[in-house]
Amino acid sequence: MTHVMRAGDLTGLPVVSIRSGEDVAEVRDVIYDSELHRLIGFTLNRRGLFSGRMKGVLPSASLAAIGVDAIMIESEDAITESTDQKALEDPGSATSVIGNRVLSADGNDLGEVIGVIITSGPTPAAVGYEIAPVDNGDSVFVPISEQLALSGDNVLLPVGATDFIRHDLAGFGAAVTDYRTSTLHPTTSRPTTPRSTTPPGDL
Amino acid sequence: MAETFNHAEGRSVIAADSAETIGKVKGFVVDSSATGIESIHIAGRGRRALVIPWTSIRSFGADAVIAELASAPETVAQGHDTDAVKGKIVARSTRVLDTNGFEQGVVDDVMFDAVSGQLTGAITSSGHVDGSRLRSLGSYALVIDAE
Repeated sequence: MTHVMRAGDLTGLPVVSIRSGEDVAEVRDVIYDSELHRLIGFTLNRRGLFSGRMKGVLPSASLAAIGVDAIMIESEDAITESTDQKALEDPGSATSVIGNRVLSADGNDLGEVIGVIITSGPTPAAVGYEIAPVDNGDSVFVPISEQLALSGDNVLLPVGATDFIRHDLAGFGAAVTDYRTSTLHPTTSRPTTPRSTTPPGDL
Repeated sequence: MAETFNHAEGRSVIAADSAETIGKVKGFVVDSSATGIESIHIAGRGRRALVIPWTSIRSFGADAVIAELASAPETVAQGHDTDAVKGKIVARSTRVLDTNGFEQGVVDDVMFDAVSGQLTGAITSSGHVDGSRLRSLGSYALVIDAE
């Protein structure tokens, strides 16, 4: 099962070097590209008594892993001051998905995005949104994928995504795995039409 | 021969030439990559701590540690060693963190080879960790490879 967590819960987590076992920083802000559904990286605070913003940032490509208890990096070299990611230097420039309306493929208003859900592990990915429903009930989790359409203020879910909505984060981890499988290998019940195959000899 | 930090603590340290007791095992300074013991802390604290480099240990015996000393035990070097002797980097009760960023309990004891001084494993509150999985020991955590 995929372990999923709220991106917002990463704030304050220690950034630990695998090489030294030291906590070299902590997460100040999570920078997320809502158009590409991709984690860009983290801005950082210093650890301890003299905490405050660090100059260096942590691009997601330099991560070793994201865990529930810590963000792991191979060494302090992962923290850099020069990055080609403008959003890391100027977090305000990243487009935010928070506050957007989420609509199902058939036009139902599901609520408002209040958070981004990511997978933990060595290759973290954004896999869902946490939504505050219109009726002010408990928040729900919807899976996201490349097929999702996003404007400045609306998120339109692809057909089928609503089947994977869950009310708890733990169950959502399993739903995400199923959803990814279903979008990668579209429904097996669909009549299979033989695809034109290229005989090996033609290559 | 397998030894552990908990077992070895308090063992007398005897000078090979004079047969005098020069101290007791107070703790171990482990290298930052958690592969082996660099030195043994025998007396004092902080800047006045006395350590014996592992290379000067003739024999780490079951009842006594025999040290070969050309001169008096050295006071500590800078950096990682100083931190270790100050008690900042102590293997025991340090949190265990795997390379995926999940905590795996705390260190209860550390096993080492009495001949080479290499760490052979750790006993944590959530089980035994083989020496091959140890990645580093710092003031924040003992980092181990995720299973």
